[in-house]
Amino acid sequence: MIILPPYVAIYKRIVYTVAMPDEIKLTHTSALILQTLGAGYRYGFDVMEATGLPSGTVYPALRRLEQLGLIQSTWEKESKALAEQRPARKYYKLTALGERTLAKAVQRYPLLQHMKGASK
Amino acid sequence: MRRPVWMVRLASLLVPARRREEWVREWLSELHYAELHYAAQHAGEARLLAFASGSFYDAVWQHRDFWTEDRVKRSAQSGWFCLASLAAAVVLVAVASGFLPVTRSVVMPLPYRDAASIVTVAQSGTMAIRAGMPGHAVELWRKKSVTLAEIATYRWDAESQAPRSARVSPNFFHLLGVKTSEGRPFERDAFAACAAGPEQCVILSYDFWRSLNGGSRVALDGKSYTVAGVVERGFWFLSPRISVWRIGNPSRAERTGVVARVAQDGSGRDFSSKETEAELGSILRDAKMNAWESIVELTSVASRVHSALWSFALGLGLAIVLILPSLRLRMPSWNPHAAAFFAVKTGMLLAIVLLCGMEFTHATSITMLGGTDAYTEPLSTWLFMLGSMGALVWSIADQRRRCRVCMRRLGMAAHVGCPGCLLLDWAGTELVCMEGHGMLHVPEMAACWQEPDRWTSLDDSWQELFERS
Repeated sequence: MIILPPYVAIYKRIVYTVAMPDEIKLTHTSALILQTLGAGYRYGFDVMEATGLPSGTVYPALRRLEQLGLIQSTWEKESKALAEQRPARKYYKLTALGERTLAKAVQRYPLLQHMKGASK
Repeated sequence: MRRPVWMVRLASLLVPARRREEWVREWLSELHYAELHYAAQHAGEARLLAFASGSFYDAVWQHRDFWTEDRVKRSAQSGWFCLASLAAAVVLVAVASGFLPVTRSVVMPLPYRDAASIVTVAQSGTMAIRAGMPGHAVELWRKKSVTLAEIATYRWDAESQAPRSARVSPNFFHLLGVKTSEGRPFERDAFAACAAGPEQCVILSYDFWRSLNGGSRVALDGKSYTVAGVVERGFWFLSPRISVWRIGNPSRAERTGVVARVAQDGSGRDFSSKETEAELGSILRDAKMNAWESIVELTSVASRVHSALWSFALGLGLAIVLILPSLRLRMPSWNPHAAAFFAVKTGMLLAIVLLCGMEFTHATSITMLGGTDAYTEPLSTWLFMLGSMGALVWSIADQRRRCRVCMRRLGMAAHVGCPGCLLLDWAGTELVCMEGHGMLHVPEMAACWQEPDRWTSLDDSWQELFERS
C-alpha cells in the first residue's frame, strides 16, 4: 500500500515547475518599440509610423513583449468606438516590469535616449 | 483605395484557432486606421498592401509562439506523436532503399513462366543447398528422370566480385521461360555453341546493361566476355544482386546448384515432390552413390523466396520466447484503446525491422546458413531476431510508461519514500499523466512479494490541478 497521498507529490511538482523570470535582455528593435510605447504611442500602427519599422516586425514584437509581461494590451470600449463609427483599437501600455526593463535597456543602448524627448 | 482584407483573412489561416478571432479583429482594426492614414497622405495602394503583408509574418510568429518548448514537449509525449514518428520511419526506410525493391520482389509474382513448377534440387540438409550437386549426378538425372521435364545448373561466383555474377547452363533461361529485353523467348539451344566454344559469353540483367549504355562486351574478373543477350527488366533468380550470368556447363566433378522444371504425369498434373524425390534418389542409388548422398530434397523456388518472411517469423518467435519470461508481464485489464495503440506501434516497429533486414542486406532467400549468400542471409536472420527483440522490449516498456487512458507518456517523475526501506514502507517512482488521468507507481525494487507497477486513476476532482493557463 502507498502511504504518501498522491496529491502531495503533485503539488510539489507544480510548485517546482513554476520558474521565476531571469533578467530580460531585449534586442535593439524590441527596446526601441518599448521606448516608443513608453513615449506615449499606444497602438501597433502608431508605433510603426513612429519607429519606421515594418508591420511584420512591429506586431510580432508587441506579442513577444506582452508575453514577457513588459507591456499590457487592452481593447478600447466597443461602445465608444461604435459611437464614433470606427472599429475598436487595441492599446498597449508599459507594465511596471516593462518600465524597469526599459530603464536598463536605455543604459545598454544609449541612442535610445534621443527618443526620450520625442514623446507624443 | 481598396482595403486588402483578403490578405489578412488568408494569413489568419496560419494563426492557431484559439487565437484567430482576436488576431483578425486587431489586424482589421489596424488596417482601417492604416487606410485612413495613407489616404490622408495620398500614399499609393502599395503602402497599404505592404502593411497588410506584415500580417503573414505576424501569423507565422503566432505559431512560433504557439509551439513553445512546453507545448512541443507535451506533443512529443502524445501517442499520436509516437505513431506518426514510427510511420515517418517506415517511409524513411522505404525512400532510403529506393522504394523497397527487395520486398517488392519477394511479394510480387516470380518473373518466370509457370513459376509453380520451378524447383531447386539439392541433397538433404541446409549446407547442401549451398554446396550443390555434383555434375555427374545432374547428367544422370538429365538422361533418366521422367519426373523432371528440364534441368539446368547455376553456381554463384565469388561474393567479393563486382559486378556480382553467376555461371549458368545454356538452357537456364529457357527453363525459367524468361524473355529477352526485346520480348523474344530464350531458345533452348541458343547458347549451346557459346558454352562449348572458346568464346565466352554472358547474359546481362536489364539494369546492368543500361548502366553500361548498351555495350556489346563486358569485363569480368580481368576477362572480356561477349554480351549474348539481355534479360527482360525485373528478372531475378534467388538473389536480385546478380547482374551478369556467364554461360557454361559444369564439369562432371564440379558441384553446382540445380534448378528444374517438374514434368506432368499422364493426367496433366505435376509430379509431386515425394514422387520426384523418390525417383531422383533411386537414380543416384542405382549409380552406386552412397545412401546419404542419395537423399534428395526438392524446394520450390517460390518457397525459397518466401523463406525471408518465414525467417522473420522465426526471428520474431524466438524473440518472444526469449523476452517474455524476463519481463514479468501481467495480463492487463482489457482496454481496446490501449490494445489498438500497442498493436499498431509494435506492428510498425516490426515492419521497420523486416524492411531494414531485407532491403539493406538485399537478401531474398534468407536462411541461417545462407542459401545464395554466405554473409548477408545469416546477417538478415540475426537482424530479424535481434531487431524483433529490441522492438518488442521497447514497445512493452514504452506501453508501461504511458497513461492507460490517453496513451500519453507519463512524466514529472518523483522519487517517493526512503530508498532501501522496503520492509515497512514503499519506495519507488511516481509518474503522472499530464492530462490528469492517473498516476503510475513503480517500485524501486522488483521483488516477487511486491506489487509491480500500479496504476491509480484520478477522477475529475483532480482536473483543476492539471489545467493549463
